[in-house]
Amino acid sequence: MRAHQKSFVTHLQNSLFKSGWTIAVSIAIITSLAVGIVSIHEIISTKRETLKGLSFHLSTLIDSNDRIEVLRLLSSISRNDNSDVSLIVDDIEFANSYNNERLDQKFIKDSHIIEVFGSFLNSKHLIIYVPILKTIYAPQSGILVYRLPIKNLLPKILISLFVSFTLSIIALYYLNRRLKIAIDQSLSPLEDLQKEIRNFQNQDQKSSEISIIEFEEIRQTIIHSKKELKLANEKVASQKAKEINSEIYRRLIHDLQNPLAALKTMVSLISSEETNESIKSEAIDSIIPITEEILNQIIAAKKNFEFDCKSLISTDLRVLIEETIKQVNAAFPSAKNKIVFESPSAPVFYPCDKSTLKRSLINIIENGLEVCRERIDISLMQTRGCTSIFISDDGNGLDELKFNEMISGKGFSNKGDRQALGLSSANHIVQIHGGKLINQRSQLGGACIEMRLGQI
Amino acid sequence: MNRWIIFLFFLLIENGFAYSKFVKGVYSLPITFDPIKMNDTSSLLVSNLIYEGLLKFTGYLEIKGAIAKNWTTSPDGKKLTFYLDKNKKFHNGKPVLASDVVFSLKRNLSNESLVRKFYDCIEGVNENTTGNGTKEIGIREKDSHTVEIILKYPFPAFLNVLAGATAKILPKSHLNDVFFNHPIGSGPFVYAHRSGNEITFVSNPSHERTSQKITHFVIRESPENEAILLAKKGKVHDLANWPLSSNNEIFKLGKRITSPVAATWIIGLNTKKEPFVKQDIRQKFKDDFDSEKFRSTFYPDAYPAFGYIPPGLPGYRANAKNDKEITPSKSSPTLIEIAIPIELESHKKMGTLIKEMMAKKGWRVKPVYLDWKTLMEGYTAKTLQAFLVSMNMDYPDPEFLLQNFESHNPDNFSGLNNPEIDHLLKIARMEKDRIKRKETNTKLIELIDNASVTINLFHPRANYWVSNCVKNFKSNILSDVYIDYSEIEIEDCK
Repeated sequence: MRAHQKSFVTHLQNSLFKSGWTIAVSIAIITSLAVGIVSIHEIISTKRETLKGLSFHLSTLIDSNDRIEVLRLLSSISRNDNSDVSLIVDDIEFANSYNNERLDQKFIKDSHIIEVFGSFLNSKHLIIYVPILKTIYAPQSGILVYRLPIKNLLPKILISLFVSFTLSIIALYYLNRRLKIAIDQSLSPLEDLQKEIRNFQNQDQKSSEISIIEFEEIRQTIIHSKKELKLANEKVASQKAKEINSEIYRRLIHDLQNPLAALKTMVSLISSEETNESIKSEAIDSIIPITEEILNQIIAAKKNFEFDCKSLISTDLRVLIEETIKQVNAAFPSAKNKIVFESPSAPVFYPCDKSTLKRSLINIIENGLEVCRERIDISLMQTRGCTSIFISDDGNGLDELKFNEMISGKGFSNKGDRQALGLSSANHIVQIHGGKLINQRSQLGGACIEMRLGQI
Repeated sequence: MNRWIIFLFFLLIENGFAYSKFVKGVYSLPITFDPIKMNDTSSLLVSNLIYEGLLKFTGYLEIKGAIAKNWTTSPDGKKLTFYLDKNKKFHNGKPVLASDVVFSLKRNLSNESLVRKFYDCIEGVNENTTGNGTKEIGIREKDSHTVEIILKYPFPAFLNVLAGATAKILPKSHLNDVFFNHPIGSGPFVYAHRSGNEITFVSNPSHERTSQKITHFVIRESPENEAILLAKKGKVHDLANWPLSSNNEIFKLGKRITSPVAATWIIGLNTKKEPFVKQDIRQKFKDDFDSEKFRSTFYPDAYPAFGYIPPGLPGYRANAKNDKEITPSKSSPTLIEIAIPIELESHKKMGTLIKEMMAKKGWRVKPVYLDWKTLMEGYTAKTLQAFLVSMNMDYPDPEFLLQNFESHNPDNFSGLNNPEIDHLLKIARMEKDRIKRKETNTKLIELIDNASVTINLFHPRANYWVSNCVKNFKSNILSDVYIDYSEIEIEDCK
């Protein structure tokens, strides 16, 4: 994954929750302010209604000029919530709960900063004016002035603000978490699709239906594409096989051209009356080797026909080489610890027929094992746009002439009196993969055969 | 144990430990320390310092428990049960018991009690005598800390009576002939000693209200001008006992705390003395007296008095009567002596004004300047023809003032004897419905007004002077008698 890349889930979550905590905090603040405003409204309404309830009784006390009872009543109201209460009659302070000095003095109206739900707010008090009415139709007997200290009101408001803010944040956080989990869960069909795409190259992997319509359509498209690709591969493979076969025939014809021409010359010499006996004798002696060479070429070509690319699948060559080495070690116990593979850290993919390429590699390694003393090094590289597998041994080396004979099927096995077809087959396989075998001198002192597989 | 605490406290205080002295100027020292004989401001002031009753008034005249921690009233309103605070102790350390309460309240019913009229609602108390009837007095000890009071009829204002300055509880076991030489109570201050024109009290350390804010409380008797001089020098901290005008120069130095006061200044007329035996003469004298001139000359801050009841009480009259009849009578040739207290700064000017004002109307008036004690003796003995006094209230109910005109009330300064007034007073006392009670009182006031036994001069607006060193001084509508001195602090103003 590159540094700027991120998963679809992360991208979706980041898109949805772009502003992070800013929106959540803003919502919480707005909610708590709304709760605070409602609290203030409730406090004011409740106080006003309570005081209105006393209105009728107070009006009768005003009528009877019973200041003493009014003082007692206002005092008990005030004591309940540390408020200051005044009763104003004809603009004179008839009674109050906090200061006898103001009694019978002209009422001085409190200054205020703002009006809040029909009451007034200054720096010290919330002030509520309640008219004193004998009946709902009667004129006003007086005014009750109720002053609640802000310091008494503030804790209640702050507590409600704090509680509502905290609860909002908790609720939003919980919703956030639930949403993220829901996003994760809702994207599982996407993972199924992801898996499907990943398994695109694997023909045998079974897939199951995806519950999301759109994703299911994509899956069906992938399945169809898989089938088409398979057919296409088969066509390509078939086409390639035809091309390869044509190439084999062409090479065979090319390779046979010289020995057949030589054979014709020998027969001509033998059948000519002008040819002397010694030359005739040499000619007769060379007919069998030439004929054997022709036969070997035909046998090698025949063998090459056996190797057919069925389909080319992108394969991690590191894995292929490791499997090949295991197979060789299993078949040849003496090979254990001799074969050293320097595997690259990153995968090296190449489209190939895994089994045939493995076969080719086995042949080359086997050859190496036959000639090596202690060690065979295998390395995998991508150079000059090509993918190459190097198989080096610490044997005596392989000269170019012998190498060419062997890859063309003309060589003889060290193991017995038979044709050495291993390298020839390997060469053929590499060629049908678009590559070739190259002989080099190994750093270990022996031979180094490069399996150059062509550009990716 | 409490005695030792008080003794040690005295010792510490006398030796200058945490010493703070508050001096209140008064125009007269208390006439008596006996609550049942108290009728003057200084006596009532001292009563509230050293004694406590079952109940008391708060600054806003609510009734709270004092010696009584709690009380209940029966559904019919006739039985009151008081549960005493078991932590209450007298200054000598002895606990306050139900027996002390019963004893003290029964004293209020005695012959010598000036306040017995307030208690004649109690069962067994005869209106005409003083509890010497055959029926048992309805003041009982239920247990050592529970007292029951049984009333003849439900009397809504009775709790006010028990919170007043005269319904104080004294230690039964200590009451003897010399008790009032060195009185003991359970109040926030303890009587210490008397020296010349000063009486000293010290803070009661075991009283729950006392926070040692003032260790020494001194009342100092002096004329008004001398008191003002002492206040300027910082030797007096409180001049609330004097009715100062707001423009008095002393207010440039200290604090002016103003407040309405439930009081009426009057010139009382004695119906037992000529020429005031006749109602029409009294009416004429009253009509010829220019109250407004008197008020505006000497007490311009005060409110005009159009009736006997002060403002803020049912029965208060805010305006003069429009339908006032013109009295056809002539003035009387009899010399009329009007007693004026010498403790008032302007007493001579007052006398001169009254004399000249009434002379213009054909009256022969002679102002007589008496010290307060002498004046009160004459007031009580009903030997004065007319007198200038302030009618303050012991408790905030019009009933207190109207009872002055009940014919058998020893405090009936006018000697008025009107059966209709007596009857209405009885009805008003028993009436539970506040509105109906107000209506009855209105009729009473009308009758009393028509009887012309008082010339209503003004309702004072108090201008209390206190020093800048004084903190937590809160006025009381009843008067300076009820100011809670246990809450006052005094700072060092040097």
